[in-house]
Amino acid sequence: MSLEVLAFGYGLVSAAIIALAAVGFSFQFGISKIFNVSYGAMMSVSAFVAYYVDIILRTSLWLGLVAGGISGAVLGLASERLLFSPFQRRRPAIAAVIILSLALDFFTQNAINAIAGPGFFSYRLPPETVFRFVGTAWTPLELVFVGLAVFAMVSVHLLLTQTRFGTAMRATAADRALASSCGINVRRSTSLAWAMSGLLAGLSGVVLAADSGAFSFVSGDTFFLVVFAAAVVGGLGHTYGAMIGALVVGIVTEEVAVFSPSLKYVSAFGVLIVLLIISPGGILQIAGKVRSDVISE
Amino acid sequence: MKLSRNVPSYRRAEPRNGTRTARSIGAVFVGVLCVIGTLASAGVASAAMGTRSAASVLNVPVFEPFSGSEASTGPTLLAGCLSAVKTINAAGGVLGHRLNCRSVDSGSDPADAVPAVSRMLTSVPNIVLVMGPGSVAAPTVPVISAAHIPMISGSGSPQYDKNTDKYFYRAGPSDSLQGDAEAYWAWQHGYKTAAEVFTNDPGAQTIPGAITPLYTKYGGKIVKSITLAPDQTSYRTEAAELIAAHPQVIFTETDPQTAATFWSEAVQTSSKLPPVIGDQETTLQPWVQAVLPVAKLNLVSLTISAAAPTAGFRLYQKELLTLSSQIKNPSQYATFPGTISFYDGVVLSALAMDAAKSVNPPTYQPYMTRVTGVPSRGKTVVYTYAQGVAALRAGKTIDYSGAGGVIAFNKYHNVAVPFSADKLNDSSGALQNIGSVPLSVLLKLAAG
Amino acid sequence: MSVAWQFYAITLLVYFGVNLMAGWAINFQYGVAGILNFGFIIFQSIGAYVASVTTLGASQPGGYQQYILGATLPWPLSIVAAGIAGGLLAIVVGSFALRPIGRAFQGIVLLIVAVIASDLVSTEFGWFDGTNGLAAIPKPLQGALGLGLVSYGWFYVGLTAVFCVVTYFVIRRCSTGPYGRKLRALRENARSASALGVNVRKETMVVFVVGGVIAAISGAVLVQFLGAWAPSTWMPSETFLYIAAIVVGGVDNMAGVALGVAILYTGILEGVQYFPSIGVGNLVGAVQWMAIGILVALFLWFRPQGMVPQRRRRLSTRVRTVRGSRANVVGVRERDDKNVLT
Repeated sequence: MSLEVLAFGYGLVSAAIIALAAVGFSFQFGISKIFNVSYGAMMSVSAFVAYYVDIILRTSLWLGLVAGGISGAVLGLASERLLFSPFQRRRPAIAAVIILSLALDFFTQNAINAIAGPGFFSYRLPPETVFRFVGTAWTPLELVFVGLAVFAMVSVHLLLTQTRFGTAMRATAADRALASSCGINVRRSTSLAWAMSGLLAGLSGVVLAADSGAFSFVSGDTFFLVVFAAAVVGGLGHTYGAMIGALVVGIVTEEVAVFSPSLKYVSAFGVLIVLLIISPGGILQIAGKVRSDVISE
Repeated sequence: MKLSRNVPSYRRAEPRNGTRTARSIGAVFVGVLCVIGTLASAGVASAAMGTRSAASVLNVPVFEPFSGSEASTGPTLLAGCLSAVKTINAAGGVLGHRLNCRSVDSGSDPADAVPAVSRMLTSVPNIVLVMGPGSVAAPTVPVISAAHIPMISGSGSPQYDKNTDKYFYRAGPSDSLQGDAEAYWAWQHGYKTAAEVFTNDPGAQTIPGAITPLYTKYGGKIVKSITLAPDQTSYRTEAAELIAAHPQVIFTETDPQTAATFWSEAVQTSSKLPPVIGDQETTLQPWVQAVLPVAKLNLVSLTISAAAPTAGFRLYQKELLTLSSQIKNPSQYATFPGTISFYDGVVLSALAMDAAKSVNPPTYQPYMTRVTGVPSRGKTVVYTYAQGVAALRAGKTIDYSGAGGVIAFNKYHNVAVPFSADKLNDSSGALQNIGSVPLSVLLKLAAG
Repeated sequence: MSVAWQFYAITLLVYFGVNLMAGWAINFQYGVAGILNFGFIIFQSIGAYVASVTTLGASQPGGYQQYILGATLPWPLSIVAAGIAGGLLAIVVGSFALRPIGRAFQGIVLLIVAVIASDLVSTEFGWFDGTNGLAAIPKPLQGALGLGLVSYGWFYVGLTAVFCVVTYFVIRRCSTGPYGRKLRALRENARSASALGVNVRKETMVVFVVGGVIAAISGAVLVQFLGAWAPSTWMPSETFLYIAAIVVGGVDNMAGVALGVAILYTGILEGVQYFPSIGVGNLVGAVQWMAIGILVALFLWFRPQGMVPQRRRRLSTRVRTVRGSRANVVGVRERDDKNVLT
């Protein structure tokens, strides 16, 4: 059983979790054109909400997952409606919006810190049996996570291509003014898009916390850097780009860990920087699929 | 491409003259400086050192991290101070004064620690002893020393192995000694190949730094040395690498969160893990409770806890359990050497004050080594504060042997103590002593 | 007067001076030239590290700390070395980060560089002793002067003040006059500036390097006061504190930056420490950051130009004829009523 093949399997699990979050983040950027750094804090919040529902209220992890997703959707919607869209209407510089989202990020993170404390928490999942398959190793829970991620991707794709809401969102993302003049309610599309990406953030936050043995109030933000790297590597604003980026980042990090565990995430960031320099539109731009300033599905 | 926009009303108004505002700000700033200077020279005496004769409460600040990445250290060590102070006040205090523990957050990094130590020295009155500093010792020890206050530190940094600052005392063993003890134990039990799993936290790398040279000197081989970045979401590949190297024993110290993630994933790779050697961190309740449900480990922890409980140890535990209103779940520290050494540190300092018949720090400081030491003829061994006070009143010379056993400061104000090996009972989580590394061996190793 | 109070005042003043220098440096990069340097803290940090290793002497194998480049340079040289290191780092980072990829992406790239730097320094213990950091860094001229803790402290305050004054004049020189106008034009619209003959890449790099050098020197001054330095002191989030200071105080305005630094660092960060400790110890830290987050958001919303707004520079319509020359000199200051944040 070669370590590299084993790492590849682990990379797929990582990729699934990253993909859930990266698609949501990329989507948010696509529709509003802002780097929302507080996305990581949203993930942390949902992990804690799920903890409350699962452990404190003594229900189940699945109910916690649902609760986490809902909390993410609510947070996403609230931050868009109450903070980002009104701010955007004043046409601030990009820098100001990033700083604002950073401020929101610090606020949210530390609100969790103040309420739940700095310690770490765990969903206390029992140890599981491992299946081996062609040199890789899987536990049932990991398979569930991968399945969930795939299901989410397919749903997002169908939503965007087959429904009216989805088409409205894509139109808003592509050209806001034109979409508005075509009669699309851009404000509602934007809110819907943020709610959706918030839902994905919430789900990924809970999955992340369940996958690690333990989590704390900084887990979401620490993971966010990797999510961000994946979204940008694939092509920011494009859902398929995010999926590709997640695959790349997930596998690269685990393979690098075979050689040097400490350089695991450094390598992902290195790839990110190299890619940003060559083509800000990420892999999709290199593949010629998009131009960097056209954001669509 | 921006569309044209309306100019907001505040722009159309008369523009403010930036120079004028800048000048007025400059004036305010200079004024503030003058005020600070005046305060400095006039002497705000509210927290001056030396007004002690009238006071009846003496403060012992616990200067450790209560926030940041090392936030768990603070309460752990505060528990020791609080239990000690309870026994001391119950026995009548020190020369008529009561003692009081104060938690002072040092923060987890040097830049936060320096203002924190200044704040402590200015805002806490009547400081007779400082418990700490730990990981932020480097920039703060000189400041406390310049204020002529003895400090008892839990820092394990080898930086203080040859300490010459007379006010600095170390309550626990240096990390180099800890590493030596672990390597010795592993070799004695016939493990010829070993792996190291440590985080890159401050202070966690000095232990493998001591293990590796000694273990290889004996003839052992470190087949894998893994440095984990703490609190990450997955260590699957690192765990797989560890198993693949087939070590006979694993040395480790990680924080509980990292441990939970790492060992749960290690156990998925291989259900039969080699024995693990840890230190006092792996005896802590959070560590045990994080790891036990997810992985049954054959864990032996090498710590400086005393092999046999004494009267002092029983008193310490009794007082510890009464602290639940101030400390969360105090029973988790019942056998933790760090807390115990802080308890002993406060008690021995109080006894030093009694022996010196003074609570003035520079005066009682030399007595700290006189009330402790390796037992010898002519000295009465005492195990609790009350016993010590009684013996001193009877005119005897005392030797305080604390809850953690004999305390012997060498000329560098470091302690050298025997290490005991405690095995973790993996169904109940309780510790069971199975042996020790004697003092004679360690002293030989420390000499080189 | 109490030793403790004096030392506290000394600490606050030295910190203020260091943060002022750093604030002016990042303001120069951001407020004047429009470079969004989210990785700023690594420049301060490399100055601190280089100043440390060039005064600690050679690294002893088997000693308690390991590092590269050991030396024992006399005092001013260690500061010079720190400045050079900051400049070199700026050149290296700037060579790939300052390409025209849009201001936001630039900022993100620089942030990622800071994260990578923090990760690498923490794990590679051979570089700067990893997460343990460096300690026992000697204080400049201490042996020569032979002063006690407090007297030396006041001496150091004076030293910091000298550095601040020099920094002030250097940055002022660079941000006013024709050169300053060139930079602000670059900030407003790089393409137009380029069309007018401004070498955008070169000027951006120069500003980046100058900011980097000053940041590095501020780090050197700080570390020689503290005597210790570790990765926990320079997390990537520290850059955000500097940005918050200039947002609150006033972007592109040196007095504003001073006010912002005073409010944020001395005011909020110190002030919160005096709150009665309610509940768990970490509540204070959490409240600090929440307060800063709210403050920055409020300022961005209601007063994006900061407390002390940018100086208005008016185009003079009077025509002056310089004696002895045939040229007409028109205008000494130019209209400038836009702000980087609005």
